[in-house]
Amino acid sequence: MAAQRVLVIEDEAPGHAWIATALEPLSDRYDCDRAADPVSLDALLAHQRFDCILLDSLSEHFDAAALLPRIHRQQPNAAVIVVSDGHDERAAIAMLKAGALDYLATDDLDANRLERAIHDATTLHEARRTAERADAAMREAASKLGFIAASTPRILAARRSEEIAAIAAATVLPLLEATGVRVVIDKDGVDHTRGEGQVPAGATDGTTHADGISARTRGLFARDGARIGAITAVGTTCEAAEDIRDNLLLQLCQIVSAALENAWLMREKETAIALREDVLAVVSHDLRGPLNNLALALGLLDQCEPRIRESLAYNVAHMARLVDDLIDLARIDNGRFELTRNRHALLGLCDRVLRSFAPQARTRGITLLIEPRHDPSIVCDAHRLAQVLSNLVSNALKFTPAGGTVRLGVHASEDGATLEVIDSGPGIKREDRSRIFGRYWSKDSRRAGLGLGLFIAKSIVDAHSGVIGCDDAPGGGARFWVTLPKAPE
Amino acid sequence: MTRQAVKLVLIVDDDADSAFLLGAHLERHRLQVHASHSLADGKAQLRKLEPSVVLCDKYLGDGEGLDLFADGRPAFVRMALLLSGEETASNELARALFDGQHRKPIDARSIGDAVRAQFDWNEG
Repeated sequence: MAAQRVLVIEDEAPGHAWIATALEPLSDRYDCDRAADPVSLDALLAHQRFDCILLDSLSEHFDAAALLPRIHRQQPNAAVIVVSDGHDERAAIAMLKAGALDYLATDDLDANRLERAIHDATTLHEARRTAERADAAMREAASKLGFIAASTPRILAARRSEEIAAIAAATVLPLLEATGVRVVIDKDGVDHTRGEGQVPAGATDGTTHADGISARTRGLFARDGARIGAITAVGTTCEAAEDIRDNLLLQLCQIVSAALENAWLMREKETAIALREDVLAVVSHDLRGPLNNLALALGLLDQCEPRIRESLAYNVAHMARLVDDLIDLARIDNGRFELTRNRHALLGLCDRVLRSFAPQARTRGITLLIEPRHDPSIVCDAHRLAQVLSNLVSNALKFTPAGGTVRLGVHASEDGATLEVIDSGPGIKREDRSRIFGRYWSKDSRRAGLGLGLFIAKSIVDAHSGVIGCDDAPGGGARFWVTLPKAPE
Repeated sequence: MTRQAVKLVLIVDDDADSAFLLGAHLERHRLQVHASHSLADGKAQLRKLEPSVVLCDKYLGDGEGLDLFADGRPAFVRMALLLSGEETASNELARALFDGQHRKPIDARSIGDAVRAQFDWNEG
């Protein structure tokens, strides 16, 4: 074991070299230097490294209290012991507060006492230094983990594995690379952090060392335990840094594993939805041809009873509406629902819709009324808006008993227009009002229909940047209203 | 314009059943009907038969019905209607030189009335 380096700071005058005298029997255990004046002290503090510094506070050349901070600054690894006459307790306390680890009286100064003091002081000093380093490492790790935690929502929200790797790399790289580490995220053997090179073949969990470089690999695992990739941190060998890296790596692996699995599940879901909607659109489109032919053939059935013809005609028209709704649903889900907008006077549009329902209303003994307060013009897709009104009027007729009334109101406002359809039926229960515009909702499960009408109506109104809703009609019944802006936003 | 040519309706639809049934409706109104089942044949019959009315399906096996008048709409065509299961924008119809559209399933009575109106006008 190498001899400890000791610096003695005291005068050389005879009778004042207490420390040197006490150290003499220990000369084989300590490698000593002596500073008897400021010049030699400057040189020794600047160019040598000491384990222990013995400082004579009674020296005429040195002000111990002023010297202590400088010693700590220039010799942070050295334990400082102050030697004095032992009678000034206040001075002793001041020295200890200034950073000295021990205070010895000249009266007690002998080789044994000194050796014990040096041993205790250097041991204590090293322990404090280790504790400070550990504390700094913990604070650093905590801040880095906090940084990762803050980035976790972005990582988890990413939808593609490349995006996840990029966010994770951008988040962690600046932290780890400050310690000389390069992060490699392995998915299918490709380095997604750099877009180049290959992860070492056969990378498994564990640490490898070579030429002062360590590579720490941790696996990425799905919820069912299947291995889905790996992250490798490559950097210079440093035990303390490896603990930090390992902790960061573990945290990162858990987050990236969850994010990758989420992204894959989302992609599977999106693929399944797209496939379903494509099939729906194709099937619905193909149904139109036979429906069309049924309708044409129906028109040629002269020998058929009128009641049978009416039933056939109604059912063909009903099937056609169902097919239209399915096609609209496919377009809405695929984001291909488009409007053809022009400026239209709403009163004329409402009047045309009501007229189309006049025969049905007559048959059912229901009065149809239009109550225009104004005749606003707005930019809209007239065909689609007519579809919305037709759906609302059709529902109103469906649920209004014979002798009842269905009213259609048209109002202009500063921002646009409001249409309302009011019936005298049983109304909509308060608990149903938030659900009726959802897809496949039906008030009466026994009635025929897909329950898509109000959902499609809402989609059309939403596409116009409008709002649709329902509440109680004055005097009973349901009131459905649609507000539309003058021009689309 | 000869009486025979005035009363000729050209139906262009790759669905043979649809073309036959629609034609059957129109023949009840004492109209002559010819059916083509492709865009290419539709263009050829257009030049050969000089129909007064053209009823053309939007989606044909060898192309889109909107391309029927890509080389220009002849003057002898008094009315051209597009038949389709979906709504076609009016400006798109106008660009393709069609007068209007009928959505499928076709209301045979209304389309019959529309076609007869053309011929009644001509005969007037």
